[in-house]
Amino acid sequence: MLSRYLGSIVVTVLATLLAKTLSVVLNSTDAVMIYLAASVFVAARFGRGPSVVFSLLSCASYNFFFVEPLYTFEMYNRSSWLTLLVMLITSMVISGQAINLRRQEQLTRESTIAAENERIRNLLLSSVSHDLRTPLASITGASSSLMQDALPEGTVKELARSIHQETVRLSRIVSNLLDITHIESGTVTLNRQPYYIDELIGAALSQIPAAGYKLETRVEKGLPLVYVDGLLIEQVLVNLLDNAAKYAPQNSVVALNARRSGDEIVVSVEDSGSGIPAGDEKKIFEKFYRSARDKSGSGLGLAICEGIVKAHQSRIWAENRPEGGARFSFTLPFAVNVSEGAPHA
Amino acid sequence: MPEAQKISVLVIEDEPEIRMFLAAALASNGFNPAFAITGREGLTHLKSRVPEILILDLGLPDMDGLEIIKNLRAWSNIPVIVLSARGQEKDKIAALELGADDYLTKPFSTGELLARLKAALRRAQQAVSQASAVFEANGLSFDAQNRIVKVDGNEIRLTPTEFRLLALLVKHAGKIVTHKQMLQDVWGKSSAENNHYLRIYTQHLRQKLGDDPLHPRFIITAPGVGYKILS
Repeated sequence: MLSRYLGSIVVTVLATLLAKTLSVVLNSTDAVMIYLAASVFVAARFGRGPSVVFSLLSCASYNFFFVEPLYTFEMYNRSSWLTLLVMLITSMVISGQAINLRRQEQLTRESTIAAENERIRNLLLSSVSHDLRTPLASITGASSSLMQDALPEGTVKELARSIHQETVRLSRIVSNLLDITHIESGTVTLNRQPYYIDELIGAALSQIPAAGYKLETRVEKGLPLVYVDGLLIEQVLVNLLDNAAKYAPQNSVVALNARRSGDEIVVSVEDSGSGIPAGDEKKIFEKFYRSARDKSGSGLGLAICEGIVKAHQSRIWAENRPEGGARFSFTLPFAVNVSEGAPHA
Repeated sequence: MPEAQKISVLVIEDEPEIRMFLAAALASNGFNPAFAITGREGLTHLKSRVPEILILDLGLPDMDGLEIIKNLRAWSNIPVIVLSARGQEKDKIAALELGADDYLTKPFSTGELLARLKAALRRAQQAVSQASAVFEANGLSFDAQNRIVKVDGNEIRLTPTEFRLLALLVKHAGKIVTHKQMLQDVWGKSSAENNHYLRIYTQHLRQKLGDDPLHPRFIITAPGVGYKILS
């Protein structure tokens, strides 16, 4: 608060210095213009109070430094009074306008943010309610059937299996929602440790259910340690492989590569599916983005990947391969700074 | 199966729905389950009728589940399986370091639960019957007394550090050994800044054993938690 008033005083001094320097070549009334220009700046930057202070100070300075007799607050000429009065009024009016403009801008910005939040909330609600309702409907139906007497053994098994499948799906959606909320809130603290990328890939592979594709893993030999949150990077790998599983044709090859590129490691997952719709290479990382073919997903897997990779100050991107199919890549930093007592970034 | 042959298990869990599911799953798979709803009740039960294995929920209403492990480990070695919610990595690590044998993250299936219970019971039995015998699993044989390590019958030469690392994992075979435990036991320090030693030596050990980290045969990585050797 005080600093804004100080700011307006500093601007007065600067404007006076500038006007005084230019007074060699300019008329003394031109100094008024310099003060008026400065008053716009003060109003826009510091707000109402400081700009009133500036108006008064600048009039006083003008009188003191530019009106005959110089270096007094007296005046020989009556028209000088008029100049001073007009200067004060103009300065006040300009400030008022600038402040209004600033407030208007702020309101517009706030309402844009509010509208965007509203849009995301609606998207979240409609997506979540649909995603949650579908499995819940199956579970309600199947479990109420189970409560009936004298069901054939086969039917009991089938209903139980359906309940199990749907609850697994539900819990995945809920986990994804919690993850994305957590990541977006910016409160994720990375538990960074040095890892060899192949052990993280190994951990991720042990979590992937057997799928209809053939996985080929190619990890460059002798890669240095990376400095990452192992659990989160494992999740990125699992999500990318899950995503590939949705699009990889039966018996096709999905390749998981890790190689060195400059001072980082690039990990990529390639499938030979239908590829990414043209122009959607960035959009697919947005929350609730779903391709026409993806009916079962929560539309959050890739958004979570992006959130995690960005939290590591690294990059993730998607592209179509010239030979067909999609490639998802992300980078990871080397653990170059790991030494005794190294600071944890 | 007659009651007497069933394995006694105590479950300390406050959520009735989970208790119900565990009761059905355990009773129909050769266990004789007893239940406690609070930590206090659980401790009383543990002292009066020691079960063969304990299933412990970490999120109890009256006390921290970790306190129960600490208390129990002062006088008993029965296997403890911890139930935890997702994302409670710190609690899992703390539980393992206090002497829990394994953990299960909710939600879990009956199959997973039974597999963990059986593995923990088998380990407990092995620890009693063959404390000094040679460890053998998946083609790896480890003879601590004669300091001989073999993979598929071929002897492997290890450095003293690699040997100590393997010995620690083998001592707790089938159970995750946390980073801190490894650093303390093998290097005598627990500072997290030394984590890279751990990675480097584990990598060397894996290379010598011919264990591919991508498709591990012996040593499993649990990111953020530790390592374990398959039993």
